[in-house]
Parts: sequence; C-alpha cells; structure tokens
Amino acid sequence: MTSLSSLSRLKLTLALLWGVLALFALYTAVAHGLIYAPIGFVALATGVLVFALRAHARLSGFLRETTEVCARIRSGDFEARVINLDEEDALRRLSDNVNGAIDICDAFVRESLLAMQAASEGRYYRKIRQEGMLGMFSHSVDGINRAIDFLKEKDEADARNKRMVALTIERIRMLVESASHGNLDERIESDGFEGEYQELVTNMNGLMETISDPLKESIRVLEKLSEGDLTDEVRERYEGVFDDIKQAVNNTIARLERIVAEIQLASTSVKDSADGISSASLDLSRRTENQSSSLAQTASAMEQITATVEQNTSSARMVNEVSLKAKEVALQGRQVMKEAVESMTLISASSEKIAHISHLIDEIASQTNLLAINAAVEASRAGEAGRGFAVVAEEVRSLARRSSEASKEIRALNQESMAQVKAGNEHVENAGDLLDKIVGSVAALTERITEITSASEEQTIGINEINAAIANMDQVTQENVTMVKQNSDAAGSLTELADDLNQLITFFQLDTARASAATA
Amino acid sequence: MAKELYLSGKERVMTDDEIIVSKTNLKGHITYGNDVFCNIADYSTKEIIGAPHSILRHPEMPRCVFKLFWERIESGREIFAYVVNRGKEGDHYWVLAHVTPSFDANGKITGYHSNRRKPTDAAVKAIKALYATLLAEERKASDRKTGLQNSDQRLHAILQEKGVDYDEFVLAL
Ligand SMILES: Cc1cc2nc3c(=O)[nH]c(=O)nc-3n(C[C@H](O)[C@H](O)[C@H](O)COP(=O)(O)O)c2cc1C
Repeated sequence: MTSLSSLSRLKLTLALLWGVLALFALYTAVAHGLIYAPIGFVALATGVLVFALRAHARLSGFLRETTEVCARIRSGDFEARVINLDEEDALRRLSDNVNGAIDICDAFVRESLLAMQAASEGRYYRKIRQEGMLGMFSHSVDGINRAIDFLKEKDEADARNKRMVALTIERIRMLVESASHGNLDERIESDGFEGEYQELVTNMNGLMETISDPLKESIRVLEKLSEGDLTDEVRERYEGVFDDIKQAVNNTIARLERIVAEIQLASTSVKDSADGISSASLDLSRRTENQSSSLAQTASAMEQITATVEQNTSSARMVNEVSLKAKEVALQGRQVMKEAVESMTLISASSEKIAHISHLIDEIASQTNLLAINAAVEASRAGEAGRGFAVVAEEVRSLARRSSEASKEIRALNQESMAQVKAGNEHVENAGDLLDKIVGSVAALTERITEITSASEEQTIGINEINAAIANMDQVTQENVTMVKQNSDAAGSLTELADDLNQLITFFQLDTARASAATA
Repeated sequence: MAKELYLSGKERVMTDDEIIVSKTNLKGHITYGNDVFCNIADYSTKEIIGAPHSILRHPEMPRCVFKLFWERIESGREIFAYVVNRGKEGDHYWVLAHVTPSFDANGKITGYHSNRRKPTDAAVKAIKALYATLLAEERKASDRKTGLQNSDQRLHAILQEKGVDYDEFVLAL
C-alpha cells in the first residue's frame, strides 16, 4: 500500500530537500544578521502561508472529491472512485484506502448479488470467492456461501423428494396397474427409497401381502376343490373382507361336501332303483314278448281257422250247388229213364220187326241159293258160253249164304238185345228208384248244407271279430313291447347315469369324518 | 498487435488478500484501476486511465477466451476467466478475473467492472494446458478469422466432452 513510484519518491525527496535548505538558508541569514529578523520572519511566514494556502487548496479539492465519492457510495453508487492522478503520500494512501474500501464493498455487493442470482437459478456452484475478502466481508461471504450450500442442499433434497415422490408414485402406479390386471406378486423394491417413502412402499408391499395371501390360500383350496379334493380349507387368520372370503370358501366347501355326500347316498339308491327297474322291465319285456308270440300264434291259428271256415263255407256252398245240380241231374235222369223205357219199348218192337225181317231174309237167301244152283246147272250145260253165268251164280250163292249167315247173326243179336232190353228195363226201374231216393237225399243234404253255410258265415263274422280283437291286442302288445323297451332303455340309462354319477362323485375326496358328521 | 512484445519471463504473484480492481467504459477503456492493479502491472494511475484494457494483453491468451468474455458481459452477464496479463515491464501474472457489467437505474449497461483474485496453482496449471491447445488451434489456421472459429469450436467441444458449461468448468478449477 505504501509503495510509490520512483518518480513520486524522487519528487518528494527533492521537495523535502528544498524545504530544509530554504529553512536552513533563512535561519543562517537571520542568525548572521544578513536579513533583518522581522523580515526573515515575515518571509518565512509568507512562505509558510503561500505553501499552506496552496496545500489547503489542493487538500480541499482532494477532500471535496473524496467527500463526493463517499456521498455517491453512501447513495449506493459503487461506480464512484477517487481518481487520484497527482496526490501522493498521505493523500495517495487515503485515496487508495478509500478506493480499497469501496472496491471491497463493490466486489462484495456484486458477488453477493450475482451469487444469489445464480443460486436462484439453481447454479449453486457459483459461490462467492473468499480470496480478497477480509473480516466481516469474509464472514458475510461465509454466511452467504453457507446459505447457498443450504439452498443447494434444500434444492437437492427437494429434487430428491420430488424424485422420491415421482418414483414412489411410479412404482405404486405400476404395482396398482399390475394388481388391477390381477398380478398380486409384484412388489416394490424398497432399496431406492428413504424415510417415509420407504415406509409407504413397505406398507404398500404389506398391503399386497394382505390382499394376495388370503386370495392365494383361497386359490389353493379352490384348486384342490377343482381336483375334487374337499379335504382342504382356508386356515390362516384374516381380517375383515378377507375373513369374509375365507368364510365363504370354507362354507362353500362344507356345503359342497354335504351335498356330495348326499349325492353319493342318493346316487347309490338311484342305482339300486334303476337296477330294480331294469331287471323288472327285462322280465316284463320277456313276458310281453312271450305274450306277443302267443298272440302271433293265436293269430295264425285264427287265420287257419278262418281259412278253414271260409273253405267250409265255400265247400258247403259248392256242395249245395253240386247237390242242386245232382237233384237236377237226378230229375233229368228220371226223364232220361222214362225216355229210355220208351225207347226200350220201341226197341222191343223194332226187334220183333227185325226178327220178322231176318226171317224174310232167310227165306230170300234160301230161295236165292236154289235159284243160283239152278242157274249153275244151267250154265254148266251151256258150256263155255255159260261159264260167265256159272261164276255169277257162284257169287250169288255165296251172297245168299252170307245173307243167311248174317240174318242168323242178327237174329241172335236181336234176341240178345231183347234180353238185354228186358234186363235194362229192370235196371232202369231200379235206377229210377235209386234216383228218387237220391233226389230225396239231395234235398235233405241241401237243407243241411244251407244250415252249415249260414253257421259258417256266422262263424266267419265271429272269427273276424276275434281277429280284430287279436290284432288290437297285438298292437297293444307291440306298443307294450316298445314301451317296455323304452322303459328298459330308460332304466338302463338311469343305471348308467347312476353309475356315472357314482363315478363322478368318487372324484370328490371327502374329509370322511366331517362328511359323515354332515350327513348324519 | 502483431508487433513482438517484450516478455521478461518473470512471474508476479498476487497475495491471498488482494483484489485487483478495474473499471472500463463500454469500449473497454480503463476508467479506474486500484493500487494493486498499478503495482502488479507497473503502471501509474495516470498511465492507465483512458488506456484500452488490452494494454495488459499477454500473447499467450487465446482470442476465443476474450470472444466469450465480451459476448457474456455485453449480454449483461458475469464471467469468470483465468487470465495471464503482461505488465508494463514485460512481467506476467495470473489472475482469476470476475468481470461484470455495471448498470444504471434503468438497467442499461454503463460500463464494466473486473475483480481479480489470486488463482490456485492447480487451476493455473490446468488452464495453461487448455489455453495452449486453444492457442495452437488459432496459430495453426491460415487466417485470424478461421483460427478464432476453430479455437472457439474446440473450447466448446472440450466443455461438451466434460459435460459442463463454461462457468461450472472455470469455477471448479
Ligand atoms: C472490465 C474489463 C477488464 C479487462 N481486463 C483485461 C485484462 O486484465 N487483461 C486483458 O488482456 N484483457 C482484459 N480485458 C479485455 C480487453 O478489453 C481486450 O478485449 C483483450 O485484452 C483482448 O485484446 P484484443 O481484442 O486487442 O486482442 C478487459 C476488459 C474489460 C471490459
């Protein structure tokens, strides 16, 4: 601070030298009486006065400037400085120190303002440099820097908090998101969290356990249930709605167990009944089938009877017709016989004529023969010329002979015929009697047959009614067969169902002690 | 500018308590310099008042640093920068400059102000390496303009690689 330029030191030294020399010269001159003492005093006084006035003028100028600078500083204008171009020594020291004081205030104010500005923008690294700051300035710088550090820490804590809040929200959001999609296994890694956030996160994880534990246990129990295992139940202790879930699941299983046990019982008895029905309907079926086949047999027997009766009827009708014809024929026979008797009588008459005629023929033949012999004799007399006559005569003789023979035969035959006609007449008489008898019998027969026919027709009607009844019975029986079959099928499927049911029910494993207690 | 500047090679070092203070008008002409400034740079108050601040310019300062420097303060913002300065006699000294605009009551920039503190040795060592790189970039280029562009790009690339902005980088040194 006190170091001055060599020039100003030189100037000061010269000024001092000049002053001392002037004083010494003045003193010597006065002491030696060269200068009248009062004059010397006046000269000295004048010199001192001039020097003092000049010094005063400079000093007051300097002080005015310095005062002005101080006033500007006082009003907050830190641009003000004492620009000391000429003054040295004490005034230089004064101006330097005034300026130094302002400089440090200026520096402090600028630094503080800018550091606080930077801090308000989050640039905490921009603190006030301690270099050059002394005493209270240094203290204040410390204070401000501490405040900046504090702000920084607070800001960082805020940011951390913000991050923590954001992280917490994010993690909880993810947790809730995945939980809302049914994933309850998600947990928040609590490592990155601090303080109450860690507590919150831990609590959230705890909440997840609270929710997921009873659900998981219920799922375990329900999964076993889905495998038919009714022996498990929710065992842990839960609170509130989770206890409600537990109770609901356990009640469901208990109820189910009871139902299953009851079904087991019921299905066994259903099976028994179905088996009973099944065997009964089998029996019924067999019997119905028997009945049906008996009916069929009856029907076919009835058919045969019907056929027979019909045949009887038609035979009777035919016999009737035949007997009517027979009666007719017999009556015709009677007529024919009458005619035959008449013919026979005619034949007898004819036979007598024939006998007469054959007698005539005989006579003619013998006469002819005689004539022929005569002719032959005559011819032989005639010789050669008579030869032809001889031959003819011979011929006529043979003819006559043959005619005679024939007439003989005719007579024999005629006699035979006459005998036969006679016998025939007797026969005819007999036959007539027989025919009369026949006609009588035929009449009786016809009467009977008519009776038979009407009886047969009545029979047919009766049989038809029987047939209708049988057909009806058959139909009913067939329906019965179908029904019995259906019944038996139904019983069969009932048995199957009961078996299935039993099978299904065996799927469930019961806590036997509990189940029997439940159904007891 | 291109004229060879005398460099004594002698380094002057600030004390921990000192602040070098200067003020300039909008053009960068000095309107005030404190006694520490005058002493370390071997200038008298008379010599510096009205002089451009570039009288302190050291040839080893990359131009891209001053580009950024001016961009920042002209837009009303502060900047911290490690600067090596050349004193009147050719000595050099390293400072951590904090340059800020001064505003009037209406918020208009009326001038600039610079506080300079003693940098740590480690910071100086680190910044020297960076400045050497940037300077090499500038000297390599055929003309000043591309040189400045290249070193500017290089500076930003280095910051981007470190993942910090300029202020964070400088204040962490
Ligand atoms: C308040 C303020 C302080 C500055 N301090 C320095 C400094 O210490 N050293 C420096 O080289 N440039 C400083 N500059 C930047 C200069 O104005 C200039 O831009 C820089 O030296 C580059 O010079 P050039 O553009 O001529 O290459 C400062 C600028 C401002 C506004």
